[in-house]
Amino acid sequence: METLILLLVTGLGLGALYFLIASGLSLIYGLMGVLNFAHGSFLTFGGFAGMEVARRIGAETWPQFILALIVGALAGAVFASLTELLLIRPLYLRHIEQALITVGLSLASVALMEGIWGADPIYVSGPPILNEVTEIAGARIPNDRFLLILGAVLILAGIMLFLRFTRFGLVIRAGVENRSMVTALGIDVRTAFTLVFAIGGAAAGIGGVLASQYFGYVSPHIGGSLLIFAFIVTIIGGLGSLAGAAIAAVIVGVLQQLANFYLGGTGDLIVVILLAAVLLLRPSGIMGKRAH
Amino acid sequence: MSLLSVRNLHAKIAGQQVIEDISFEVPASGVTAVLGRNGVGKSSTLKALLGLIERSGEVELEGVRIDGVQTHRIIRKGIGYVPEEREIFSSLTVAENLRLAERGGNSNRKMVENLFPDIYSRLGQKAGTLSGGQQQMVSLARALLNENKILLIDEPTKGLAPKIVTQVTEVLKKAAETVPILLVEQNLKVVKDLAGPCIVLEGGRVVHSGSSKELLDSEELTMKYLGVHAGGKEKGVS
Repeated sequence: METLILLLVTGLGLGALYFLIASGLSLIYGLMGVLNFAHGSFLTFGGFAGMEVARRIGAETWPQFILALIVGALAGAVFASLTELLLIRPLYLRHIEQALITVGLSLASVALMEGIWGADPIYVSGPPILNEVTEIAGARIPNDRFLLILGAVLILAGIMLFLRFTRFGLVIRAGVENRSMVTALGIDVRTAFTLVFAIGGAAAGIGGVLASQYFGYVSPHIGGSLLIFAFIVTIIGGLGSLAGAAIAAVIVGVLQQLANFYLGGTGDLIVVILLAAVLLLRPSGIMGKRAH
Repeated sequence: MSLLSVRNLHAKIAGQQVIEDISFEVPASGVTAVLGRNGVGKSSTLKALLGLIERSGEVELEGVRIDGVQTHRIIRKGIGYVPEEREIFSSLTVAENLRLAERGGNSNRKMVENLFPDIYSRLGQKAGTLSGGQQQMVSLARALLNENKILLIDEPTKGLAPKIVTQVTEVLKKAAETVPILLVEQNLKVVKDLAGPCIVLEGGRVVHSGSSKELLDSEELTMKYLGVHAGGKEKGVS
């Protein structure tokens, strides 16, 4: 029982990380039809930005750690916004070229970050409590899992509230459903494009700082390895659906952990089989919508 | 002087030419009808005017060129658009659909509320759960909410029950008292009720222009251009 609880909470923590990337991927695809292969780089850059804060002022106290999270979020948001403005916007509606340029950016940014910070992992520290464990029904659960879950829940709630109660949120929700009609109402939908990139980049940037706590290090390749599963989460959840991404992230994270433990390290294989099943039986995903 | 002036308009959809060298004028009052059989380019003409599809040629609104302008800027110059398939946002509430359309400043909210009391009693309802007629009312309300110089309305009575068609016709009649309308319509009775001048398209070109009444009263012309008997049930025009 203890093992099961540990696996479930660890799966939720991993799912939380997937969600922090998948939320942006899903919104960006839903609104703009862009498959953003550079999204992992936003996470990596956010992780390095947080690490730099920790290196300069420390991250042992909560205010320091929260500052690292804010800087990580800003770094991700700025990187993402520049990507949209400089690379994606000039290729508006040319989806293949847009996907290709994000692949190129992903490769180039990893090389750039290797040039700046080196290819080896850089170990990071955080508030000491994150290195401790909490016992639940006999299971000793590392506290960083709870932080990941809390972070993802807050981000999900924040984005949901933004989409529900702001004018920009309304434009984004309408744009995910029918982009050209939003334009035909006199709304410059390109502002929403940049905003969605910025929101997705900020979530990924926070994910980068949290991932460095989960793994204990940050490296130029950390985003790329998470991106693959975030794409799977996005597709299973339904492109364009934030709630779908959240549900799928939990399913994928937990399933991966359970299969790794009980089925001899087959977590990745099981997730890919799940993806194939969803694509065959429900191609639009759990809660999928498509932009026009 | 005409309000909207279109010269040598060409348009393509997915590389396919759908409009070839169309020129026409829309007067500053009343309803101007765009007629023709199915697939002749009527809806594409409206979309081309708004830049929603690839187009070339000259389009002037009150003497100012708008053909090189982005769609959202064209709309903000004072054009209201009601698309053929209504294209309301089904996952949003009625109130959100209306809020999205409101451009601020000179809102006609009071007038629209009087025209469509039914939809204003359903503001919290998801627009996708409305009947076809109610969805059309939301689509029309979105266009009427703002002070526009012209409305482009594409088949507003398509697929609606006769009673709703009458209601929509009445709404358009009232709207036309204050703002000119360029109307694509297959229902010739509605055209007869509303329209002054008309243009007829065939194969993406203008083949006839003149008075709607004269066209629809002439057995020969309606059969020739629209494939139906004058005053009779439409056939081949859906």
